[in-house]
Amino acid sequence: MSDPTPTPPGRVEDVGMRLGTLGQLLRLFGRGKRPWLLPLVLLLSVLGLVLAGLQAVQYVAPFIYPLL
Amino acid sequence: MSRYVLGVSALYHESAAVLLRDGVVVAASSEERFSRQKQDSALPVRASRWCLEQAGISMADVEAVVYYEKPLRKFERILVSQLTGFPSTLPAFQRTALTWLTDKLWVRNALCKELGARPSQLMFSEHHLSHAASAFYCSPFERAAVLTVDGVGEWATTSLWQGDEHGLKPLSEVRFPHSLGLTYSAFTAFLGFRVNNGEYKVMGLASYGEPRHVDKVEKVLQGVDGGGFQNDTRYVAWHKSTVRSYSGAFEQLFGAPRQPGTPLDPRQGEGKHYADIAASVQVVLEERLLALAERLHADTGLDALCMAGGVALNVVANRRLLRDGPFAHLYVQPASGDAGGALGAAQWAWHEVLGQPRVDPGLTPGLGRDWPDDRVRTLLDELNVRFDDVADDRIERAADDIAAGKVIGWFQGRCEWGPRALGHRSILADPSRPDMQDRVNKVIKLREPFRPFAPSVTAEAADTYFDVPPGGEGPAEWMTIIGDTREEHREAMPAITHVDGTARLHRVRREVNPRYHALIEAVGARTGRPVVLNTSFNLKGDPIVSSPVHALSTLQSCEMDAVYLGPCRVARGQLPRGGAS
Ligand SMILES: [Fe+2]
Repeated sequence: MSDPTPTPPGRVEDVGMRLGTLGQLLRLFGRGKRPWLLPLVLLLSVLGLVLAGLQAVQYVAPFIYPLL
Repeated sequence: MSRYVLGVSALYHESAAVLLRDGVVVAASSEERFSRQKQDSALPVRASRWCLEQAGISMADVEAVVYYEKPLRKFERILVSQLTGFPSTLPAFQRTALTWLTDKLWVRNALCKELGARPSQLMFSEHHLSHAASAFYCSPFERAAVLTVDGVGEWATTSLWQGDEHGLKPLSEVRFPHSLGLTYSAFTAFLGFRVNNGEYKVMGLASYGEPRHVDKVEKVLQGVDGGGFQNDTRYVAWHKSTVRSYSGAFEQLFGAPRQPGTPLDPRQGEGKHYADIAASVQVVLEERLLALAERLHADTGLDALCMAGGVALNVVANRRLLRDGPFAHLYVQPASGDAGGALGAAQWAWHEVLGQPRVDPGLTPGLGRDWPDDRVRTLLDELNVRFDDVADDRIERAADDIAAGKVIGWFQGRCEWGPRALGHRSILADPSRPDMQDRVNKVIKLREPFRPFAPSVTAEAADTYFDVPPGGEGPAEWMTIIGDTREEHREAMPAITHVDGTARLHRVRREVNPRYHALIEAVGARTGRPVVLNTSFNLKGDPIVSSPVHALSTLQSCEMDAVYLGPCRVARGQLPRGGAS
């Protein structure tokens, strides 16, 4: 059996995937159905990149999950 | 050369990993069995690694790593819901932004970073598609109607499908915020139980009550023409709050909620009132499910129904569906909660993306971690635990113990897949002893006294003791349906018969679990009834034990008499002072 230990993606690959995710989000919201979500997503994207850079906030398990 | 697909579910409820080899399940486990955090929702890193180890492969050998839902669509639903409810959703929005931006949005990164997957290996199913795939592709039916019902996935909360030789075809769905699962969870919270954990307590409580409040529950959850349903959102809060699931109007309708942790006697006073509410919501849930089943039957013309999603774990409703509904056959995927999404995601990818034909997925109760006999012996030696080697007569010794009124831990073979203990990691006792329910409830499981235990019975004797509706034999093998304890046996088996005469029986076939079947038969030879009380091998708040160390720790912490760890019998008195772990 080969080594099952994961090789983590590099920093560049990691940021690339994050940008890819944001691109998908923009496509999802911009596809005519809900274009009004776009500005919000852009704002969240900026916030997200900052928070992801800081890595400062821990996820807290929700009591009620549908909106989390 | 074999082909592998790894299914993964995570980040909301119980996370899990499932590995398919050529479409057959070779390993399946919830992360909680490794992390020891009950209903652990973290990415199943340990469970995934163990799956690969079990198959003797590395992540590079896996053709596809399939996540059970589409996170971005879920995020879209949450944003839309919150913007629709603005400004009352502002506090929820802050929490949402935090959890999504720091964590949930980046599932792709996490799967690569934590699990070692390559981006090119990743696939994303849809939440209800994963549930539907797990139900249909595990079922014995070539063609079937499929119903998936839960709290919420991306947008769907209920989905209707047809499964056949062409795969799964979506027929219709009900979307958030209208949700049977969230309705039941709101009542779970109102009745003082923990959401996502206490729903089965509501079901147990319902048997003590009378459905006096059906008209009120129907204000919260209305049926609509064509078999659908909708919530009156004035009564609920799950669409605008992250901490409350029902509104002030709901409290005006039903009165004050029960305070969690307070004593509950469902036979009188306030307890009876809450039991009546539980009975009412149970009845309304059953009516809505029956209406959906009628619709699905009319749409498909098929006579077999497959189910998955958290609501499919409502064993009382499942019997009602089979008894009063239009379908002659029922299959319920045993890990119907979101852990089972990992299984369905992998099956969807294998059959519908990679285009592979249907195979028997080999779903058996024991798909989790195993502890070979020699390893158990070595471990006990290392821990300085004395034991009797009962490799050749474990069945007889365990049956002697049970017949003598002892409560034993039964740790044999691979750990179970799904939430139920099915004779691999079980606590067992003689159900005919009048004090047994109290003893196991009070000193071992620390459960509410109103909850009964389940019986395991040999398939050959099941009809003698229990009455399950025709078509329910299969679900009874996985404890996904209830039956009636036959009138003439109720008094003799009080510990496993609920107040309304029902039992959530576990029907054990020799071919499926020969050792457990032999044990029940051996108990029958001693007590006159091949029936044992079977409850999951864990203490309150813990996941089911998955290693001998957990089993010994459980033995040490409660009033159990002995554990059978593979070939070794360890009695309480044989534990070293100061503990084994
Ligand atoms: Fe679900």
